[in-house]
Amino acid sequence: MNLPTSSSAGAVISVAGLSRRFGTKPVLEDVSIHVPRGCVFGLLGENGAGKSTLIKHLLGLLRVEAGAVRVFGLDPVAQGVEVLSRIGYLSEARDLPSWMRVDELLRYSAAFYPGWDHVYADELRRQFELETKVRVRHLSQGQLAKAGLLVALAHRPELLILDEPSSGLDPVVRRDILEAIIRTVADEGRTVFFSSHLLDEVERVSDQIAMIHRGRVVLGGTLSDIKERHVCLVVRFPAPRLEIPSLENVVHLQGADREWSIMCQGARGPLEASLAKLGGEVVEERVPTLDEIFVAQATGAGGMAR
Amino acid sequence: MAILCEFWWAKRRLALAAAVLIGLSFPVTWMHARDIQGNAVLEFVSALPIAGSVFLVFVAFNYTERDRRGRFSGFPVRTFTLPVSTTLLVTTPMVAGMVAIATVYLMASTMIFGYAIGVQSPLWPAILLASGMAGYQAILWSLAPHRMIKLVVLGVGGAFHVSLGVALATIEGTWRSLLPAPLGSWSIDLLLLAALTPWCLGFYLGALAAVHSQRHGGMEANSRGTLRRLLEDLSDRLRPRRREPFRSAAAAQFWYEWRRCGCVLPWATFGVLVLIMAPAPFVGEIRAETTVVTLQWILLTPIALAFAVGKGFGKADFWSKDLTVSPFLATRPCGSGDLIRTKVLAALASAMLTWALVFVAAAMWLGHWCDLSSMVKWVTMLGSKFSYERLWVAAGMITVLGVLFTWKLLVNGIYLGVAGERWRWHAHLSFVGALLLGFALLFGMLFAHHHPEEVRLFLIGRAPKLIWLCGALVLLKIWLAYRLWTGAVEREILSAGRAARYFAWWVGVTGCLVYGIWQILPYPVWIRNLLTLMALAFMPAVRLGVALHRLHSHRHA
Repeated sequence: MNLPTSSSAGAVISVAGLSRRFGTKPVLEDVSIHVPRGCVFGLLGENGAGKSTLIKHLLGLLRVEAGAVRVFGLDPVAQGVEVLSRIGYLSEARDLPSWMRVDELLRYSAAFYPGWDHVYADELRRQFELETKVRVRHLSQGQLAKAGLLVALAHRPELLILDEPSSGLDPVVRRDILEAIIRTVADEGRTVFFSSHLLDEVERVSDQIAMIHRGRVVLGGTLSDIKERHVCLVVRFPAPRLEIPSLENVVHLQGADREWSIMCQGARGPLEASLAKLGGEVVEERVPTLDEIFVAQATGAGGMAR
Repeated sequence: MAILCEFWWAKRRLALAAAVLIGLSFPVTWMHARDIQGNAVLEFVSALPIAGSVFLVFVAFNYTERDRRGRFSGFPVRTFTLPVSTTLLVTTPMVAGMVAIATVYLMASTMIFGYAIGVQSPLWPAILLASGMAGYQAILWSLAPHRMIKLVVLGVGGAFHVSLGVALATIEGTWRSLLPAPLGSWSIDLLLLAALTPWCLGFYLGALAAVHSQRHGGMEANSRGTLRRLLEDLSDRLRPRRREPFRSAAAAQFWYEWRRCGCVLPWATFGVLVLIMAPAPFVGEIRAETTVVTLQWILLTPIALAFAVGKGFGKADFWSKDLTVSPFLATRPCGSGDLIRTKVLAALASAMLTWALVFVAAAMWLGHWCDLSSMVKWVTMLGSKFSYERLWVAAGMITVLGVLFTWKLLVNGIYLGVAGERWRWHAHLSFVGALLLGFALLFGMLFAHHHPEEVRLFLIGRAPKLIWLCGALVLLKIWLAYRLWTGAVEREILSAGRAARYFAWWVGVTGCLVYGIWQILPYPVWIRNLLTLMALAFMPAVRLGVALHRLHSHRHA
């Protein structure tokens, strides 16, 4: 088994070489992630990339097939109760028991967490405008998300795991409440791990991000590191190119004839050398947005288009 | 046609099962036609495959799906956006259902009774079944948001149809003999057709109006409407809202289990008892013989209902069609062993409350409205034969056994319900159905060919071998239980303390049962030994052990 290295010691979440298959289909391949305490960690990826599968491993809902997963240094499957009691989790499915009333849901949930803060729970409930006597099945999608968030937050967990938290929330709630909550949790020294495919949200809230594509982590680090590692270039060749030019360290390349747009990752040297061989020159250079980096990484080689 | 094709594709397995049932029954009844003719028991057994195939058709034509938010099952909402009229949407499954049920009945009865046994089966049950199908679908679609009302109306409607069928079967012979030949053979069918056509039309129009309303937003309004609010108010009064904090996580989980699974059996029993006892005040004193027979049914009610309820009790949520444990429940910070333990305790509470309800209701019913002379005679006879002390011990033991057996029926399905695998669930249900049918056929054939006394002597003659076989099975069970429970402790699914407590409970109950058997029935020895072995196998151990491992594997797939 590939155990987390000493560099991950002290991390709230340590995932090392995690691989998972559903039948013959690989869903996660050699995923490694380390989330330090007090960090807001955003997991980016398109639908079906493997974000929820990774989260299920963190919660112990899936057994590790290859690699290792540690949360608070514990195995989430073998020491499930210890791990789950320190986690607040908002499921993407918003699968709260539909037959309960909101107050019953809160009382039921409170019983499992000794650290449940009733005052904070009531404060959140008022903020989210949730009536106590309404049954969960009568809540709208947005209200369901709020109720789920309330249950996940009210015991002031050390680790908050949010699976697509914005799903169902309107932009105002998303921006003013969800992001404020995430920042507050992080400011209190607790850790937030959330998955999303909304790039602007991840960009605004996260300290660190990991981009997952077809089960592989294709990018990881702080936002500034990631942006520093990428650059968008427009290059011009002396003559129209009928074939896609072969260039080093290019993540994404698009164009036709003489002018091509390139996204480069890592050192510029090899790219410039290969460009010089083809007689090309850089005519424009700028820092890409996270959106552009995500699209470039997600499309990968498939993004090499004329 | 597209709607029918889609429907066929979704339900083809059930149709195949009905065809297989009829197909297998035909050669069996054909081979034993001579034995069956004129033998009421065997004719009844031969009719079971017909009843089974009819039941499967009803299951297949449960043409409902959960609404977009998964709140209730109603007419498939996704079909509302198809470019076809509501009339076509409703007419297609309803007519298909009516034709299918009538065809299946006619095919089955013609093959099994007509060709195999040579008894002409009447046409009127097909008409009755077709009308039943129309009513069934109309109720499913019209009362979709009102689950409890739907169940009650379905029950009442079903009981009405069955009663009508029984009444028609009773008067059929007399009716036919009273009328001249051609008229006599057709009059019941024609009369029933004439009587039920307006009913069917009413069902159809009601279903059409309901689906039309739902297609244009009526369901949303209906699901939040006055009736809904009234029902929820009633539900709140019957099952008060939890207003106090829970003492512990275990208490909270018990409340969850009780609300979703535990309370089903007491409520179902209460409903059946009301149906049985409600007419009592209006019919005067109930005769002595009827009292004894009805009391037997009353005492059997919890067992029969627990058998059915037990199939759903094992699931994480009794009312859910989904067998998987939801992420909400799976991420509660409590162990899989604790979840199973809570289910087991909720089952015990459910069984105890159900029997308390039965005893209180039976005492009231017997005390107020029944002639007890037959019962007193029986008790006096038994008391003089075995002594009253023994009779009291036996009564106490039977009561405890009743509670334990009800509990056992509830917990027996946990290992299937928590596994999260639909195929296991269906395989189990099919197996139980086949087993029941097999036993019915076996006993039917046995008693058809042999006198009951012969059967009794045959069984007594083989008792020693049977005891050895039972002994081996009991040993196997104990060994398996030991492996499973120690495995669960090793895998930390359950603490050693909890496992030891269940073991103590198992030993205690089994010990009491064995002691009781040896006190009450010391002779004949072979019966005592057989019952002792049965007592050793009575308390669930293997299935609960499997449940612990299955839930753990399902929660951590």
